[in-house]
Amino acid sequence: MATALKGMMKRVVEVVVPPPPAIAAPSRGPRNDSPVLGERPGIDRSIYEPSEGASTGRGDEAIATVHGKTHRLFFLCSHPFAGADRVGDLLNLCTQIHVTGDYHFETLREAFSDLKAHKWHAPFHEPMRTETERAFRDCVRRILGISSEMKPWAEWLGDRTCRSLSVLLPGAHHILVLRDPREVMVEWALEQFRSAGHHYSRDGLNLHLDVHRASFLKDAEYFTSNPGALLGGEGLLERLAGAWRHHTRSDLAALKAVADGETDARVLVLRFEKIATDPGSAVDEMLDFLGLDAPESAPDVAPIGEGFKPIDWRMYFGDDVKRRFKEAAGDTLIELGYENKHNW
Amino acid sequence: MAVHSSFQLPATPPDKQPGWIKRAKRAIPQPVRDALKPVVRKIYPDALSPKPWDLSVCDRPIGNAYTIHADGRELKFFFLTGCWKSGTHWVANVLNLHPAISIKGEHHFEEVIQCKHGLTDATWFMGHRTRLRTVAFDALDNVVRRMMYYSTRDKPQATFIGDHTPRLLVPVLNSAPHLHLVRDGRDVVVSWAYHWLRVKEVNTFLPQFRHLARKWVPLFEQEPDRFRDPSIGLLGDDEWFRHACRGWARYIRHDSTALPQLRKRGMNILDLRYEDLHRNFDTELGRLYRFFGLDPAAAEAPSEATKTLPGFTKVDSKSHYRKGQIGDWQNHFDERLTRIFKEEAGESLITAGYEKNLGW
Repeated sequence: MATALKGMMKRVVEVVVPPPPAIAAPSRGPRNDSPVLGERPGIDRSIYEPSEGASTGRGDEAIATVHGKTHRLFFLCSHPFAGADRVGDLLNLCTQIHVTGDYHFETLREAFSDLKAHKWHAPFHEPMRTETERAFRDCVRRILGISSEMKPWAEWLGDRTCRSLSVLLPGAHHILVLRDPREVMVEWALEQFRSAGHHYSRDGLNLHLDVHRASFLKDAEYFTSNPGALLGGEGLLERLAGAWRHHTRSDLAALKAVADGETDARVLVLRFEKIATDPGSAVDEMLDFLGLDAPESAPDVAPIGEGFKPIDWRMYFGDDVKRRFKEAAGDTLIELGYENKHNW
Repeated sequence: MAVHSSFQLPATPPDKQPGWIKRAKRAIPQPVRDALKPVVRKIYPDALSPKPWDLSVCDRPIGNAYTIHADGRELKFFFLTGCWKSGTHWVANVLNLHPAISIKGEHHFEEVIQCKHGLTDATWFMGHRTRLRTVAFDALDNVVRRMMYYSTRDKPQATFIGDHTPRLLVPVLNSAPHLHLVRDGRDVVVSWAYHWLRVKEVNTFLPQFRHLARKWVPLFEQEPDRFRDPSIGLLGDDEWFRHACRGWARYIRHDSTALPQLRKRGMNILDLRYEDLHRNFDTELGRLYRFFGLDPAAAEAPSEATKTLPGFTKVDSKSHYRKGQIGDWQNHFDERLTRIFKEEAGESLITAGYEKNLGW
């Protein structure tokens, strides 16, 4: 009788307060792709550039002359929460460098690619096709070049945007920041809960997570006290890990294209963890990469270095979260060299 | 301060050489060419190194965003828009009869419009800031002018340079003159159905309609005349037909709202109707050229060869220029298509002035 009554009450509740819609099973995607950069997993060098003998056709595409002064342009890329903004702050301590962002030139790139995408588009055909590409590069130079008005003596002007590594100006210098994705997951998830971001809200996922968000908004330490709730809920980890994996494999493919001479660019790969340990050395490395002498008095990196503190991801990664992360992005974690095997 | 005047750009490389020079070069052995170079250079200096086009003239508009000074005179940019299959190619051909007009397409600058928003709308993007927004828009306007100027260099005497693209009436260059073309939606969707049957690559179809392409395109290749039957082909598929009707209705809804707003902002827009061009061809031609302040008498006479006469003497279902008639929808619409069109686009047909009510 009691059971039947319970069943009836449950049905009444479901009518009055319908359950949230079921979340479509996130696409698992391939999780054991071959390493992009070669048979041996991991990125094993810090500077990627076309190998000797590769035909690059290098020209001075990555320069802009503004108000009579010539500036060199470079790009600072990373996944969201992997540290590009903090690296930009470090570089801005140097008088010869001015980094601003986000520009999101990938929007421009997509638009110009769409302009010449179909054969019924005039820019699909030559010579318009080449001219369209030239116009795109000119746009990037103009938009980035005008940032020199804020620091006109800077030799280098940088775009700091959290995007995949894609070379917009042939021959340009790029700095790519990588970070342990498990730390990225934690910071990213916290931001998603804070702002009810895109991954949080899409397709009704928030209906499963709002109860935690409400508590988090009242108490900033909520997830410290309840770490399992951050990534343990249905679907969020899979979305974030899947997005990170897609972004990072795109980075790796771009690095390979540079190394194979298919793309003309120079790329310095930096690890967030290395910057956290010794930000001063990281700055020296970046200055050397950009062909700048280290300043006579080293800039005080301490205040900005605070932002590079590592996160203890282990407290948020219980066994179930670990298993789900390995399924979603474990292969790429190993390829970056953050683990050697799947049984971490 | 004008940003564009401060930039120095890599030089535009020389344009491709004239065809006869390329053919001559191919026919002559290299050692002979090397020996002849000094002689040719003396007689025809531009043969070996044609002058580059100075596209930077497009970066210095004068007075407004659509006027530049180049080749010793003022050049003005304009745009021809309208829904797909409304006759934009025909009107472009007609415009090109006049020596002062050069219009090419389709550039699809709606991508540039999207890009303007993509770069500047989000509040945390650098492009959202006023100064950078101005620079970004300025840079993208330069792109539009450069591309249009570049693509019309085969008619260097033209002073009005245009783009024709079937797209919504949204300004690309601020306050640039526009020609806005409208056609009866019922003829548009019939023409659209034939257009897509001519497309051979299945992947250009939307995913939900690719099965129709696989089914009907091979048959259309063999027996195009069978497709007057509305029960077969794309017209025979309710989902496709509704999609096409909604597409045309969207154009009418958007443009009928945009047009008075843009005119209020001072934009010069000429309304054109496909049907009026057909019925009163000479009168409309005159109106078209006079919109630019040009003498219609200076234009070449329309002809079948230039695909500028209204309609075609021969119906070719497999050609981009299929029939060119008004009211052809009556040869295709049955009760089913009529009902669906009224549901999806009936109100827009009234808005566009083609019917007074849904009782047709």
